[in-house]
Amino acid sequence: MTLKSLMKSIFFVEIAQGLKLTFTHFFKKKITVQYPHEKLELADGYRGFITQRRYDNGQERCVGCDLCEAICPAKAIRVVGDIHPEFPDRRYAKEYTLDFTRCIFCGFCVVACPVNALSMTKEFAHSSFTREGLIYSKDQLLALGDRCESESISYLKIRNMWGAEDSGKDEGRYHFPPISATQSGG
Amino acid sequence: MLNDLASAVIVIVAVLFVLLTTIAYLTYLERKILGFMQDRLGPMEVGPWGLLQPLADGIKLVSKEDIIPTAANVAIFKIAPIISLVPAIISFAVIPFGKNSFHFLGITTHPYITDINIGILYVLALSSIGAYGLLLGGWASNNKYSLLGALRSAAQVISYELNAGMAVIGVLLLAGSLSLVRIESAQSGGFWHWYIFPQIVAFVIYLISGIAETNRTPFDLPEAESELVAGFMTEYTGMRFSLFYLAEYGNMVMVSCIATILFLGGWNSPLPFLDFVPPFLWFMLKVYFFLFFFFWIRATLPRLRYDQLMKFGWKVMLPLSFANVIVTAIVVYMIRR
Repeated sequence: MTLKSLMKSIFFVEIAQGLKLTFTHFFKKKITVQYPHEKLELADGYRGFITQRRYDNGQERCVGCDLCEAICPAKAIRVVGDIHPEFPDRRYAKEYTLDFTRCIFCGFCVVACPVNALSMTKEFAHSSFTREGLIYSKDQLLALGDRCESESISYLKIRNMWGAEDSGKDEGRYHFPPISATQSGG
Repeated sequence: MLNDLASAVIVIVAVLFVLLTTIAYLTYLERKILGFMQDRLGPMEVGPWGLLQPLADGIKLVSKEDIIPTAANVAIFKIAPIISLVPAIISFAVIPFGKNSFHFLGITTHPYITDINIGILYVLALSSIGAYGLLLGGWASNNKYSLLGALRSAAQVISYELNAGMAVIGVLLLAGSLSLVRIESAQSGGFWHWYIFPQIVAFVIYLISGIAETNRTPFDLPEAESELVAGFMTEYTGMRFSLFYLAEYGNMVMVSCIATILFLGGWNSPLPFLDFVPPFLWFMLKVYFFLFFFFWIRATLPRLRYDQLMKFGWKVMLPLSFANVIVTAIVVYMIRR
């Protein structure tokens, strides 16, 4: 032990340095966000709860193609597609359930969807007393979509999935015309 | 006679009130200070700025289920927290909180419960008894973590109490009395009369030993969360657990009080023109500085290893405190002759 290091330990130099550091942090601005009282603003690309979307006239977009079910890595989505009862040239999802207890919020289903029927919101605080309560049916997903329409659209835009309806970048994304238009035409 | 009794009761009630409030709010203060030093806010939810947190914690602890392990030695298990807490509280009987006698409801009384001529010895003796509480509690729980924690705490408290006692002797030689009131009076008249300056070595030794004796970080091996669950307190729940907690914080206040009285002049103001501030406030200010220092140290230093603790206690602190006593004794003898 050299004289210098001996003096250092006798006068607690290193401990004093540590004390000084903690004391300066005592007066620093605190980084805590008091969550329920104040909330951070989430980015547009935030992957929150998944929604189902409608066309402007209220027609649901989903065509029951099963692509989201196929790509889902957590096997959270179940789609039962069927021929639309009123319009035999159309398909739709007779049943569509999304199990949020399994969902890993990766957003693959939104990417896979050819008609932009799925999008993601900024909601993340859904909770339930039962497991069944977090398995959302098609109606619940549509209701969520109605409530968070602007968030869904901004998600699709920021993720370059806003297709033919706008001057979007992803022109290859197929756009089914709304059913009412088809009906009037044929 | 009746007047004496009334004055004693008033002081006891006042001291207990101040002490228990201090202990309750120390838990809040500790969490706040630790939080602030880690750039957090600490408790914020219960009441404004979380000020009612100690109350909420108290209600929670009292209403919790009282679990006694099947294999435990029930009688000792039940009495251990009491053995731990009672000495921690009754040692405050000799602490002089202020200087002047005061009037309350027409009764003249003084700001300490009693002034016995062996004051500091009484405090040291009671703090040793408090260690039995931890030991018995750890043994009676019949749990290996509790037992290991209790053994560690026994070894640690014994080694460091020795240093604390030796450090105190230097001050006693200077003051020429064991009575805490007289030790305080001997340091009156400005901060250059305080014993921290002639006894700086003893002060550092006492502070380190005090932290070790109260099982605080960086000497919190007896209740090392990451190794021993909670040490001797592992099997305790609810009210009994909170008694151990009260004892720990009570001992912290005790060590701070003793350090204040012996080294920082107790209720004496640092400069003569500051005498208009009541002595009680000076005393509290100094005690709270030490309590802040306890939390400050906790926020800064990591825990020592067990062999480091023992090596430091026996090979560094003890020879130093012996040397301090010898040097002080020689100097005092030369001056007084």
